[in-house]
Amino acid sequence: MKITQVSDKDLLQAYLAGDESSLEQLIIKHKRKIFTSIYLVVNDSFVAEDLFQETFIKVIQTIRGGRYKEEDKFIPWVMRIARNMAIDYYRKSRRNVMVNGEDGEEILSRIEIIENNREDQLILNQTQKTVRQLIALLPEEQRTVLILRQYADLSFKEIAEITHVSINTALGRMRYALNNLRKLILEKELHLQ
Amino acid sequence: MNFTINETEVLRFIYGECSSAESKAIAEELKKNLALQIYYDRMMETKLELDAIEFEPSEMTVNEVLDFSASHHDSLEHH
Repeated sequence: MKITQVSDKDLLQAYLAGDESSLEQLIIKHKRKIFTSIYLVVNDSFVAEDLFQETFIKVIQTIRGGRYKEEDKFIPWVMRIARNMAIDYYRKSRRNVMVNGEDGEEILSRIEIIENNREDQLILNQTQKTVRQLIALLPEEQRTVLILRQYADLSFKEIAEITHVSINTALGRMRYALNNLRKLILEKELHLQ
Repeated sequence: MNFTINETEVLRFIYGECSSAESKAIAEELKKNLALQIYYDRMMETKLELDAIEFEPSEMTVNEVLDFSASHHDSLEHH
């Protein structure tokens, strides 16, 4: 049977019944989405690997401890755990290395698209690589909102809170980010799929 | 529904942050507002391109998670 034909709920039940291979299937199904959300926020492949592990250790402990109550919403739940860990990492790293600013922008000033430092593990095609590089060209405040909304799955309200701006400012930055990214893509004459 | 539908509202719509009433109003507006429809199409295209960017963890990391699960099978159960 193909992995995609088995629901997450069924895999979870099988895992709880002692079938370790069900966990592997769950991870295989969702690892890219979860890892991407961590990696693009923390911007460090080693940290992202650690947080991915920590996320699933927490998932395993919660499930095994009988505390998982969201049987039909497995991935949103895991994504929330991953996102919170990534954001926590940011807050801690900001305290350690960031210079304080007035409007909170420094919080995420390290959110930038780094050069491909682990090319062997990238699964991007050339167009995707180029888009990723174009994101790095966006002004910092736009790039921050875009990454938090697009990859950390934070709401605009949550982004506004974390960056200490109004929700309209967060929305405006996202609008400019997408508009500018669109222009950059057209300048590069990329063919969107 | 009485609210101004502009590019910002369309953006909230694209990212699924509108109420059902707002979504319905925006969908209706998109049918009759060509400029907004073009904006929506362009932003959706860009979003889809962003959606396609994916990374994956190393095999070692995945294996360590699986090892953790297997090695803690008994100790974690029924806590």
